[in-house]
Amino acid sequence: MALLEIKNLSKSFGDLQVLRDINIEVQKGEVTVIIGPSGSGKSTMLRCCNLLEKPSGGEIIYQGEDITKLGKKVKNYRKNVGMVFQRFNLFTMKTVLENITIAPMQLNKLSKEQAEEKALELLDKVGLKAKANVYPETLSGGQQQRVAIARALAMDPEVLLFDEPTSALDPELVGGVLEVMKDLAKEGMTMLVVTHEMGFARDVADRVIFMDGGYIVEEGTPEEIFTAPKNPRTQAFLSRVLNK
Amino acid sequence: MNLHWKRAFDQLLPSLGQGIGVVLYVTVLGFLGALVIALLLAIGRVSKNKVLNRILVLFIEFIRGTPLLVQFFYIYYVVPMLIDGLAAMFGADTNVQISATLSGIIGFSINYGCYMSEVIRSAILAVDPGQREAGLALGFSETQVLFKFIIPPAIRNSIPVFGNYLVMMIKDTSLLAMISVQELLLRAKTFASQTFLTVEAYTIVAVVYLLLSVPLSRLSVTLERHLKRARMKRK
Repeated sequence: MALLEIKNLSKSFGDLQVLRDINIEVQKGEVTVIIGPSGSGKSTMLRCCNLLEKPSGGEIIYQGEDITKLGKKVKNYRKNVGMVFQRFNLFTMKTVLENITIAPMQLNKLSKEQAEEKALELLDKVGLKAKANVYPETLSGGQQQRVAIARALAMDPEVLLFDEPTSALDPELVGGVLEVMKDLAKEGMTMLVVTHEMGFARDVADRVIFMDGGYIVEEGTPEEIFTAPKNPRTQAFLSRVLNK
Repeated sequence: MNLHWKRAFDQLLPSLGQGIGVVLYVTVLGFLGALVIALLLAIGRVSKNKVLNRILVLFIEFIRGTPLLVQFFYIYYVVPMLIDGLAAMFGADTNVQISATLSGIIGFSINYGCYMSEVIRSAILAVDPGQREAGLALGFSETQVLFKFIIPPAIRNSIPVFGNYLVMMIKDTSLLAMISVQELLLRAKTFASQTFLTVEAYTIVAVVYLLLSVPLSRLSVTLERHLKRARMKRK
């Protein structure tokens, strides 16, 4: 059974329909990468997965429950679904360590010692143990994003959502963040990733979904999508981004 | 014109010293009250409850549309009568009195609270929406997000503006002379009418206000620069 099942998802902003009839099954331990041109609805789709955007129609099934009908209890669901944002969104008035410990301490009732021990382990994992006590603004974008990943991991999520995690980074900082994501994939983390990094999609993804105009146009293994795309729109998009 | 500065200094200054105590007392308590009211109003204004919002807008407009001095009079003279009248309707015989000083503190809390609530409200709206989304995505509720991740930076960004309001409040304590609070202006006025040292009395009191407000406004400018620099450095 799929860990997360998106069924007939649609989303409109007023008259503008940005998502139509989206169906995705996310299997446990699988990395699903969503690619597509700007404005294709891929970020909106991802944000619907933890209800930062409220879907206009359809269902999102997690552990047999439709999370779009949870109401206020959605916060319990969100604890199981980590999110990494394009612009990091670290808490500006908290240190790196506090950014990582606040949710486990206050939402999962970890003691300060437990939470800090875990936070330091995670910081070590993303290569930033030395930065535990500084404020996020002193860090580079790439470092901030790695802290943001550690913050999401601190809640022991079942799924991690990545919303263009490297799009706001200087080119030389992209590599470090992608490395961390590759390690996570190797460890068997279930990931749903919206990205423009075609190299990452090809190397790491178990499944690639191409979206355009609010639809899923094509999906398949990286092999299928990158070497033999069937749909002309996929072909056009890939030839544009790969031949740059 | 014969001016008797020495006599004026000798006789007026001790009294003004006590007046400064009153001014600081009213300002400190009034400002704390204003901060609390401002925060409550601002939170109400950013809530999604439309009815509450409408009521608060009306209230704030009402307070901002009437003079502070009228509000002091109203609290000092009218509110006790209203309370007595209300109590009489329930058969109780009361004789409520609100002291002039307390009227001042209440008036400042409400009046400045309304103005400062708009400062906090816009600071709340100016906090990067990403902070809210990050909090929600971790599993915090909207209320937790507001208090943990949005209000703290909003307050920090409001501090320089609060400094200006503090200086204004110090000067506005002179209005309390009209409801018989023994602050600086009333003391100077009494002294002038007793001694006819009018020029000396009002000049001295003006200088005392200046000595109170200028260091404070310098302080708030320094604080503003410091906060700005701290932000720049962090970026």
